[in-house]
Amino acid sequence: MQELSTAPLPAPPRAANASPWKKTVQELAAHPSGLIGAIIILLYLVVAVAAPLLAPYSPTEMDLRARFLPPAWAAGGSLQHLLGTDQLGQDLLSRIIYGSRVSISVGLFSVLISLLVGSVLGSIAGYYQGWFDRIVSRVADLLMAVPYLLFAIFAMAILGPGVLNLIIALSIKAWIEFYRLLRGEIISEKTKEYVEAARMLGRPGPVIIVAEVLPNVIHSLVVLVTLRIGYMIIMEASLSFLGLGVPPEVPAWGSMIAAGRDTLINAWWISTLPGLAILFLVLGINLLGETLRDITDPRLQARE
Amino acid sequence: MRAGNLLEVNGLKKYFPVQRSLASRLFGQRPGWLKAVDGVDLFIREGETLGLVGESGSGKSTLGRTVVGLYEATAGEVRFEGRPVKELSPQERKSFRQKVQMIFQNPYSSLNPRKTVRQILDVPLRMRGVPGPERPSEMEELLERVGLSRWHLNQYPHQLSGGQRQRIGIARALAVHPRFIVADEPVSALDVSVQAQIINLLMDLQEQFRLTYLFIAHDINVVHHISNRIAVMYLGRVVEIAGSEELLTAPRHPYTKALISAIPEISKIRRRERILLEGTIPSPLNPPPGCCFQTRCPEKKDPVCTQIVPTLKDVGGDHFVACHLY
Repeated sequence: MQELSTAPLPAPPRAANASPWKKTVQELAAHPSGLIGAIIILLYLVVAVAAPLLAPYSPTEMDLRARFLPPAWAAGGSLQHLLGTDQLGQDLLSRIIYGSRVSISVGLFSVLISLLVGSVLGSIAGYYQGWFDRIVSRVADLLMAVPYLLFAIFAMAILGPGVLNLIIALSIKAWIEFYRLLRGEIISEKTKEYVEAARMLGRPGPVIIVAEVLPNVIHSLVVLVTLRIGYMIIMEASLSFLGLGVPPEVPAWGSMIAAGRDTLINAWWISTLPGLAILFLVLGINLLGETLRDITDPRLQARE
Repeated sequence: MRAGNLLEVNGLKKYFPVQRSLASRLFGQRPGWLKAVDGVDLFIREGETLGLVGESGSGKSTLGRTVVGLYEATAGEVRFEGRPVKELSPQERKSFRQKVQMIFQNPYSSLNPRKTVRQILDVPLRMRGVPGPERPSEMEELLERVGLSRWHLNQYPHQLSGGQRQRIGIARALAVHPRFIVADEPVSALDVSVQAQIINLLMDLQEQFRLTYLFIAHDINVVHHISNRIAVMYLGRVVEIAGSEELLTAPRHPYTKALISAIPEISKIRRRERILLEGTIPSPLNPPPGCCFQTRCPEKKDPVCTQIVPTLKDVGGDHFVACHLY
């Protein structure tokens, strides 16, 4: 067939038939900032998983002869310790590598627990409303009134330090965001006629929520999950900075920053480098999250 | 209940609670009620189409949704096949669900945007107990019945036109083998040319499957074409029911007269005198006392119309009017 037409051809049916997920991945590839975010996150994940293979030293191995060693590129630095050492002579690179495990696991699991609790409660409250909705929504309002960090400090003071306790303390309040999102989305979806059609066919409420409504709101959930993981990582770092996070012997970025703040003038790298580790991870997460939000925003989908 | 009636509605009411602000509640105002359906009696004979017309806000959609059980009635009863729906056992309710289906107004929101046509049609077939291996051939037959082909099975709703979507909605309702279908303005969201196709499809299907329809619309021309009888609703009440021809040629209720005089006509010879109604339909939050139409009626008689609620009266020839003039 000769190519005569200059008018734009309609999209081939294959592309139009692509599932919404495939489309999201394709669009992500077309948004450089989101792609950069995804690559940064992937790098951090690889580092966290492969920490024992990548770290040149044990994160808790002290070498008091090599205290306050600057990074390799600075005057007085050595290639033995690429990012220098802290006041106890511990290798900073190894500690930052191991520290990613605390940050990522706390961020991931506190959000996963909140997602699970918040979505279940939000679905029930949104679909059935009534007394359940009134009670849970008031509890959520009550928790919302307390500043997050203050609440987490109280919770950690009661629970004591530890990764699991961090996850619990952060989840107690974090489910509210997911609860509110899902409750609102389900209230707006359930008045649509496709839900009424499902009711006409005699499908029970829980089946309608999971099989009919959830696929229509999952995109906004994905965006919220991504952005909240970044926030949780900052919360974890803040608690660790205040000494309320993990036990002192476990390397965590927040406590590393705290440890270096007395010597910030003379040994800037002890605080600054873990800070940069947090900065880039959260930046990557936010880049990905905001791109996902742009892709899935129905107002930007008008061309469909 | 008379023999031959598939569905009967007696004194049906559906009120929606209206939230008042905290301040007005503190000052002792009681929560309000929106009286969407306010005491409706009607019956539908087996195999017929009852058209239901009325302007927006007259409660016709609410009536349809209450009849099929999407809304719970505030008062009154719905009898299907001679039995009150409220008293059905869970098992019987399941079979009621399959005998009564609905076709929706908006073909864009009535299909789940995340599901393919195959997934949409799979649910009713499963509910009817069609075993998995037989479903593909059943789906193809259904699609053929509504004028589509199996080529559409793998498409998403956004890839279909409005008319095609409405056909899928009809196929979904048909898939459970219903006896009674409430069609809630099934064509008002479609182009005029497509409207005719869908109406003809509905009439063909009625013949093939001996269906009974409650056909809701605000366009009296559309309703006239498909209905055996027409009921006119105003402010939550049925003001007149008659055979389709009778209602158009000899309307009795002043509201029906005004409604019919407003039908646009091309012929210059048969131009009717137009009856123009003053004002708008009153709020169902605060309906007028007496006859619901008294605020706009050109033939209002004091004090009977402003004080006594008229009931449906038989004026002969299967014609019922709720008006003090008769």
